Order: sequence, then structure tokens, then C-alpha cells
Amino acid sequence: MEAQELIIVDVFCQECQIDISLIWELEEFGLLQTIKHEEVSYLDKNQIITVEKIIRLHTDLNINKEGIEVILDLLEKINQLNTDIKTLKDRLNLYE
Amino acid sequence: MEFIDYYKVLGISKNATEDEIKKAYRKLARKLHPDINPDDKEAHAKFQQLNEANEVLSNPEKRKKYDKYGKDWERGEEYEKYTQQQQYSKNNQQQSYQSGNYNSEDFSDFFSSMFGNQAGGGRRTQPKYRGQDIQASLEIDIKEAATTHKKEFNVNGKSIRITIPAGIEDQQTIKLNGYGAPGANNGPNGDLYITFSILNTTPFKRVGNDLYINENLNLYTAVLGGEITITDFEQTKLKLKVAAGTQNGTKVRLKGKGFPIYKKEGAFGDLYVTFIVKIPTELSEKEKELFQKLSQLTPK
Repeated sequence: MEAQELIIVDVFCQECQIDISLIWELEEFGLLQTIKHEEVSYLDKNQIITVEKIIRLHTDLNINKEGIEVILDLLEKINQLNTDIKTLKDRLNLYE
Repeated sequence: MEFIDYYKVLGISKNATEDEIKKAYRKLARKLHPDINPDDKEAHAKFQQLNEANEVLSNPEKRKKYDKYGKDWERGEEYEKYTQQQQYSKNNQQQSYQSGNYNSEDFSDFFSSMFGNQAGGGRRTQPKYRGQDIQASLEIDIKEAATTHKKEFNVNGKSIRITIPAGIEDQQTIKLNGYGAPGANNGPNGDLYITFSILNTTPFKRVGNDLYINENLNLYTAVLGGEITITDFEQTKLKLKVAAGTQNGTKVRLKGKGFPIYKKEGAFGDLYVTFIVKIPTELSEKEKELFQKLSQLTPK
């Protein structure tokens, strides 16, 4: 079984210079998920890229949680569409 | 070094108010932010220029200097020396984005020449800046992409050795945490993004993990059936049975003979072989005669 790499929420907040309450707010809204173990809260390392992106959107662009959710959803759709375009281009290439 | 019209960058007039500058900046930042435009180098460059324009125009001192020298900024060296020693007020700190993969090293040569390398122009309390992310591209051959291998290359003078897993896709980007530009004021390093371009000079075409190849089939084998030998991607000879009456364009699938699946050791896609039936073109008199006989036998 693959080991799960975790980052302590407090440490993450210190590094990013953000208030820990933002993490709880984002969690309550469902934009991220923390893991609690022996009274310490952690973030899964695989989640960090998304969490950093959420924080940047929030702090850099003043986008509220609802807006962030829409942006993440649309970015995922764009990503999926780009993958589809690539696959279709590859398939088209078979006939060239 | 090219002169940059910061007013044009922000799309505002020369007598724009502070509020108008702030508004224009926020509007464009929402449009050009790197997180909203992943993999868009043009947007990243414009965002950098936008930050630079905001840094200058939202700071009254810098704006004054910029307005004064404008296109003649190169002659304003003496003035520059004076202004660099000034302590700017902290009032403008909030107006520029402090993260978003942007730091003082991101400023253009034009900006650095006019204002020095300090993004804050001598702020008393310097915020931490995350280092800039670096985008790099690496071209590898499809044969290399089919095997897990190590590759060493240079990014900004730094030698980096990475393991490229078999099955990497064309235009796939991998991220190396902390291998970007160093952060400012003890901020974390940026990340390094490597986008792979996979060069394919083989007769195999790749769609995801599957490979496609065309194989010529002579008319007689197509009609009567038989066996042909093909060479797969690994250069292994494979014997393939051809059913009698095989039509031109018939596709057969060879399971597990395709491209390695990314990060799934021992797993492969499929190989699709398309038969191209070749009609004989230079027939001898005898062959022509036999075909004619055959056509007479075939019901119309």
C-alpha cells in the first residue's frame, strides 16, 4: 500500500503566510479536505497544488469561495477539453 | 532595451486616477492571472508586465519619475540614484500581488534600469515572495519515451537530473517542486515545469497508449488468407494470421503490444494493424488472362 504524505496545516499556513481560519473556511465550504490525526490537522500532499491555487485565487484576485469553485470547475473542464482535442488530433493524424 | 508604455499595458490614460489604475489592474489581473491561464506563456508574460506597470503607476514617486522621463528614461540616471535612496511609504504595499509566482526577479530590463531590482523600491518591511515558476521544454524521441530513463539537462545554469517514466505523453508537463527560481526574503523557491515534446519518426502513430500501423497485404493473401510477419514497436517479429477475404482497411488489434502505460509498470496499450490491400499494377499477359477468366467466373 502506498504511504500517504501529509503536511501539518499550521506549518502550511506559516509557509504561505495565511491565517489558519482561511483553511477552515475553505474546508467548511468543501473546497479542500483536511485529515485529523491525534488532534493535529494535516493536508494531503497531493492536494497541495490545488490548495495553493485556491489560496492564490482568493488572496491575489479577491475571488470568493463560490467564484473559486466555479473557476476550478471550469479549469477542469478546459483541461478535459484540451485532452479530448489532443486525442482527436492524434486520431486525425492517423488519416493524414 | 525596449521602452514599455505602462499606461498602455493597463489600458488607461496618462491622467488616470489612483482608483482607475487600481480598477484597471484588478480587471486585467483577473483575466491574465497564471492560475486562470495555465500553460499560456503569453498570458504569463502579460501578467508580469501588468504587475510591473502597477508597481510603477500605483506608486506616486515611481509614477512621477516614469512620467517625467518616459521615453527618455535612459538619461534619468542621476535622478534614479536619488530616488533609490528614498524610503517609500508602505501605503502602496497592498496594491501589488505578493504571490502568484511573481517576484522581484521577474521585472523587465526596462524596469530594472529605471527603478533598480527591488520590487518594493526600498520598503521597510519586505514581504516574502515565492520564487518564479520556470517553464522548460524537453524534446525526446518516442523510443526514449517508451522506456523509463534518466535525463540530465540545464535550466538557468543549474544541472538537473530527472527520471522520465515510460509512457510519457506528448505535451505532458511534469512539475518539480522547488526547482524554480529562488524566493525573495526567505520565500519558498518556485517550481519547475517541464513540458515534453515527443518526436516520432517511426511508422507507428500513437493515440494515448495505443499504437497504430499500416501493413501492406498482397491481393492473394487478402483473398485466400495466410500468414504475414510484422515488426512491432519493440522490433519483435510477430506472425499474424490473415483471414481469407480480408478487406482493405481491416483493422486487427494486438492486445498489450502498444505503448507502455505511464507509471504502470508492465502495462501496455494495444497495437492496431490496418491492412492496406495492394492491387497489382503491372500484370503480365498471363496474369491478365487469368484475371479475365476469373472475372468471367464471378457472378455479376
